[in-house]
Amino acid sequence: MTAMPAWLARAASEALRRFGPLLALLLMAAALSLLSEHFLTLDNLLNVFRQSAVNALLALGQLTVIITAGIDLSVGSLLGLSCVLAAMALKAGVPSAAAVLLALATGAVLGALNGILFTKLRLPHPFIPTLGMMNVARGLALVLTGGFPISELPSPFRFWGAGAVAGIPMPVIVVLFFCVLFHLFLTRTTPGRDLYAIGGNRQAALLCGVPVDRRLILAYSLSGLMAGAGAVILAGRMNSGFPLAGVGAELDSIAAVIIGGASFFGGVGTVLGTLVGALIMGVLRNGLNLLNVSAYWQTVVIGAVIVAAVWVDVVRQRAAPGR
Amino acid sequence: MTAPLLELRDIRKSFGGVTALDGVSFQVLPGEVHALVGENGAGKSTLMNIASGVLQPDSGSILWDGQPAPELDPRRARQLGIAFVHQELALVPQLSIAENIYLGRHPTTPRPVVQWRVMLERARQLLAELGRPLDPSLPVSRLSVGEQQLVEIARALAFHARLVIMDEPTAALSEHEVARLFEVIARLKHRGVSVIYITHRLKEIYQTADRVTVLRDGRHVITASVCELPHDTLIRHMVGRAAQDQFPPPAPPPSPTTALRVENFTARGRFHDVSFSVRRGEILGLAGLVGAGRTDLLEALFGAAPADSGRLWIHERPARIRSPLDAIRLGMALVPDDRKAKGLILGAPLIWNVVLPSHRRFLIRSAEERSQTESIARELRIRAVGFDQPASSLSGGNQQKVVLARWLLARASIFLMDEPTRGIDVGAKAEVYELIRRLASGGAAIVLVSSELEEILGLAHRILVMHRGRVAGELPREQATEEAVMRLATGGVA
Amino acid sequence: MRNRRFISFLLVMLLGGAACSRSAKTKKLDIVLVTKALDSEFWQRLKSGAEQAARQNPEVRLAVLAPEREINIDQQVAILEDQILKRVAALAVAPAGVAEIIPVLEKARAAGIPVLIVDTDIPWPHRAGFVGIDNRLGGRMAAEFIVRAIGGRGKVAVIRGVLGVATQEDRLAGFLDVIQKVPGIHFVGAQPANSERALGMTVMENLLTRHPDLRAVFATNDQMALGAMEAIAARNLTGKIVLVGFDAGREAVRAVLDGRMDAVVAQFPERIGERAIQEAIKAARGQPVEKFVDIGTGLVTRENAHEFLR
Repeated sequence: MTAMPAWLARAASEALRRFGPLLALLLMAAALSLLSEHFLTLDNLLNVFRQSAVNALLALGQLTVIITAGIDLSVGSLLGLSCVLAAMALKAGVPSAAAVLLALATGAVLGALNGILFTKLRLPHPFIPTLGMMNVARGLALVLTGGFPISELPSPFRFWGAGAVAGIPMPVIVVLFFCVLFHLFLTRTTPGRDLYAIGGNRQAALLCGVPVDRRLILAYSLSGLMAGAGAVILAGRMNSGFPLAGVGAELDSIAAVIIGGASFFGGVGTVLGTLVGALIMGVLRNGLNLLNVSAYWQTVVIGAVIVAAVWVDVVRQRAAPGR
Repeated sequence: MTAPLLELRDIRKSFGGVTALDGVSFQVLPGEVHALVGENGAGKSTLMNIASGVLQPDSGSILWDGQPAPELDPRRARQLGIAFVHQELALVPQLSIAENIYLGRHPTTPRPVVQWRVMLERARQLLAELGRPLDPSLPVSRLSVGEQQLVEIARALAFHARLVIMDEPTAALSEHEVARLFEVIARLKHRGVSVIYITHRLKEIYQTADRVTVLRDGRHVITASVCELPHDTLIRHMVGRAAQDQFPPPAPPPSPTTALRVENFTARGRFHDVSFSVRRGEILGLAGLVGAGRTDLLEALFGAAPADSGRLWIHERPARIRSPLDAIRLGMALVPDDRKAKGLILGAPLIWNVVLPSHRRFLIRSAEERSQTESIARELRIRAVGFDQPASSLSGGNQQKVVLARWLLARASIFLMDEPTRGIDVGAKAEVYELIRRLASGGAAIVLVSSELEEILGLAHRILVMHRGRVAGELPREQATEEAVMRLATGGVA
Repeated sequence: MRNRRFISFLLVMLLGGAACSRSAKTKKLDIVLVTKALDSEFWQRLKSGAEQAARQNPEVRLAVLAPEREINIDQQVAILEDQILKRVAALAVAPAGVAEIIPVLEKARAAGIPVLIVDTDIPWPHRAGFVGIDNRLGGRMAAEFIVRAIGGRGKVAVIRGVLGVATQEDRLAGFLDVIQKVPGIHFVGAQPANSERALGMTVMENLLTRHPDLRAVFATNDQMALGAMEAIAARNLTGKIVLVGFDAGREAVRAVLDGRMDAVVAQFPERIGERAIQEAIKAARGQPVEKFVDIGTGLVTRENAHEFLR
């Protein structure tokens, strides 16, 4: 143990937890701007935000679930299914606003189903129902489309993913909107606090009168809702509802949450951290693209960053235990 | 004067800016049982961690058998013959007794092949010497807590320990198992093995120890032979102020209104046909051996565990409780037996742990929560660095007070308390007793489960005794003696 | 404090990245080839052909990039967006999708970057040119071989790549052109396996279960054919089912030589890559580009297989 006064160790640990990911992001950005002249241009930064948007949305939902010491493996598939259903509805003449609501509702309802299965069937771990849902939803998306993408979507719908307001891309506005919403929910409301309590000690939360089952269903439903939101953005950007949309997206969302400082064991995690986590991944991918580094190496680097993030968290915990 | 086996001279240790030990000297003679007592934070654990090599002192020296032992580390300490049996037992549940005893040090042939038969035989001998001929091939997970503790002691002996340090060994044992532990300690003494015995249960010291050392605020207060130090004086040395009566004056008689009535309450396999009632202002003690079903009963009453049949009346109105939320809404409170696992969210701030059941409106009102927490913390004298600090940073006594504060804030009128003073020091215990008495005189109904008989006898108006999931009998305070309670608790007739 | 270690970790990582790129001061022609993936011999050979063309033009700086899997369309879009930002001189793209890719190609056009389409054609009017093969003809060749091999009678199936992609659609269409005209042949269907080997094996196993009397299979790329080959071998049916692949990578050609596969439609990916870069260089220099380049196909059978193994 270093001979540091206890109060300083605690303050440093707290600062690292709150600002560690942000600091890492800024350092990364600084380094990349030195390595590539294109990085720090407005166009490129907008690219980064656009490219990180879907992951950021999914990560907000995943954060909610991870705070409760759970996990949602189905978000990628829910995104794909929502994408497909919205595209099919649009092709059938449904107005864009309704198609957006359909995507959100698909995610929310199937997410709630995940939560219901987990709580009512008393399954030992949310791994089980969300893994099942991952396969079922993906299968449904493929069956409904026969594997073919549904392209050429109407522009009011595409606006969410491809449009801009005053030069700011819509995906960025949508992400910021949901960030504020989730932040307020998690820090200023009782149901939000209950989620942290459940993650901290489920049994104790139950004995304090927290309606644990109801809250868990809410958490998984929110995760599904965000998958639906991600579907709208992605379909807008890609101009197509393709059934394989979102393959692997659940792992990216988990990575963003963990890099952002949340703990797998529950009870810890912030919206700012998650947003920064998603940006770190986006910046890494973008930066490596600009440096012409192959996609395979990008995966290696992201894996290394995840390990580093968890390691920093462990070191921090040892320096000031209990938080 | 025999030479001491272990001698710690003028030990100083600080953590950050906090002084844990301020020049403590301590000796253990060979073949003696030496008790080490003090309030939480007095420095007992730190001193023992230094003795077993886990921590290094900032200054001071350690002597073993008269020889200096500088730079002591856990491995070296084990080699010298110092063994530490911790409160949280360090056994591998899936392995057998013998394997646990010889963990990491299996008897082998010159080629590294484990000699299973030799191992089992040696384990069998050790257990027999300790007076408990268990089958050494049994997996440790199948043993009771007391038996598991025995395995740890056998482990120490297998490596020729000459000093065994035991930290709160009786915290999780029933009275029966405690008696057996004392037998084992006597046998160790007979073999010439010294024992350092850390405990909060002062009664035990008089039953098993030769000498006792009291620490307070990191300093050595007194070391004396047990017969020279009566109970009250001992407490005075520990607490630093005149010993008050451990128990407050008895609570006034309860009112005639029934707060809680239970009829034919049954949960298959855990408790059967339990019926009782508690009046407003009454403290009902619930006694029995470990495994009698008391914790299960309380948790089922609170809606945290399912019950198969039975009826409940809360304040004379029939009630159906399907979840803790239902129970809380009816004014019930549960202080669970394991505050770390069930009572507190250790990683969450103190405030959350206090306000969670009572502040359930949609929007969080921070200012209100903070001011209410502050006032209740003042009232209960909860010592904390700040209210946003995690509950894990509090001492055991303060943690327990947080649990109680929570229910006070929630304006509970029926308290189900399960071992409310387990693992907390004398000073905090007295405060908890005072609080229980105050609650009762204020009209609350309290069901008090405790394995410390004197606690129940000192506080309760009536005592219900359970045996194997059933109510064995009921005793009013005047008729309750240790023998009467024990008889009912072990299945005899009143 | 602890940040120091994090910083040094980052620096080490970034130095690695820096090693992959050097911003030189000399004026180079930046050409970028973006393929669908780099996980098969086909794409690797296309890449080496491209690198060959780049070597012949020393003022050209070539980068070859791709997403991890052919189905990661959004990853390809992201790569293209980032390259467009760098104002490269020309892009050569093998598009992973159609409607998904066109918007980003439009961005390239708006930035004044000429785009050449490689291997898989898309209906985008503003492409500078197309370099590939006549996939329909390739499909027909495969079909003709199968018809001869099974004497015009029996059950026939197709294992195909990602749906909606022109290359795959054309190969299938060409195959059906011929097959549907033969009355004795029963076409049981075309199953997708995303051009992946493991999936190809699984799909083949399922086909064999459903149609134990299957006589011939056409897999529209080598990876799927090799996977199907394993499934056939596992049931000891090698030689009893006619298997035709598409691409003619080294492994597939050796399989034909060994008798584990019957024929492969040969593309010449090196030539495709080389020619694509040559046209891209022309476009970057503002010179006229050939609108449609058909590199040509061949058929590899036991008799001529050794010629294809250089």
